[in-house]
Amino acid sequence: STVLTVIYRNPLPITVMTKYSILLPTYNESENLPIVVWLLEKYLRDVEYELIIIDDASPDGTQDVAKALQKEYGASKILLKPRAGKLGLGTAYIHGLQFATGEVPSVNDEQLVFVSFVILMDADLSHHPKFIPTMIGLQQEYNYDIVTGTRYVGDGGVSGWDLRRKVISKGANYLAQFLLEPGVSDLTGSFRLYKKAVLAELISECISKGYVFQMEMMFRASKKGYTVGEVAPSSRTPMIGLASLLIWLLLGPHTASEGGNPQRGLERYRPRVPGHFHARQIDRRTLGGP
Amino acid sequence: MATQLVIYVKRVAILTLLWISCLLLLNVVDVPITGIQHFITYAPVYGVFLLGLHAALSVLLGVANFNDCSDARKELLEEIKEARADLTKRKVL
Repeated sequence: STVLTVIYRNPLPITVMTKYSILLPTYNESENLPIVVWLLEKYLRDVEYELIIIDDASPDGTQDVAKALQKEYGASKILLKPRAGKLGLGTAYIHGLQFATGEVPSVNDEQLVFVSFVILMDADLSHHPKFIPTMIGLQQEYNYDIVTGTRYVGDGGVSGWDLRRKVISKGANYLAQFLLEPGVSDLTGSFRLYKKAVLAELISECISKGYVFQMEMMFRASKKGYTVGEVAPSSRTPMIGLASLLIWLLLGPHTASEGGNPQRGLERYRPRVPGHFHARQIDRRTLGGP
Repeated sequence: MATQLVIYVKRVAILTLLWISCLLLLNVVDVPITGIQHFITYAPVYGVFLLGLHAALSVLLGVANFNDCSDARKELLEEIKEARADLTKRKVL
């Protein structure tokens, strides 16, 4: 058989339609859920999005709160997809993804291209919705497959953690970085934006269901050669990384870069989206495909 | 796609081969500088030690640099107040 390649000339301009589905697993979040929804509405006013709340039968009445929010904001914006019991984070995303209404990439007769994205975040207010526009901006600029938030770059960080928790977090991250070499600074972070098709593919291959799930997703993405961008709050106080510390000691203070370790081949840039963030580009394509 | 384990086995194998060839070379060539022989013989021990040092330093530096986002926390608490007020007005809460 012969393979025919047909090149179409587009007589009409193509319009790209984007839709963002936010998957929000909840368990006993009746206090935080309304705040999250309110913040989403505040910061995503210009974004076509839907929120899918996956509640694992919380005894504290999270679902009643969710219903009230749905009534206020509309059933097309807030989708309630509860489950019968506490079934774990990984399966919550699989469950929620089925109900994401964004279409997979396609071009229809009116020259509309549909591209859909899925955002994963936590409902406990550890992930601020104000970062989502930055994530979207970074994705659009470089057409990334995944954009991830990070706690380890710039002003990214935590609040109210004791020393023990910080040591465990850093230690685990060091070990994971050393063994898995994912090329992403925050492996276990769970504030991420995926192209819908990429998420569906990765999620179907993941074995782990609990906390390790996020790590496995990023590891698989990295080994498959998907492009990943990182978003962190901008740094006002320069961080001292090990690499920059060594360079600083060897060559003097003038080489220490402002706002983080000078990573090999990584570009820094400020996104066009207004806000106080910088983002870091990690282009997997330059490091070799799958 | 090679698994991560295969990648690691390859690296360790290459390093081991290098080390063994250095050891063999020591038997043939007479190195005049003292200390070199000792260093090459115990190179793997030094390697592991340096790796441990790197790990410990990285974690320590990481913990010391871990941002405590107190400003972000304050900002969030303000926004929570604002959200509560607005949602109460709309009779959602």
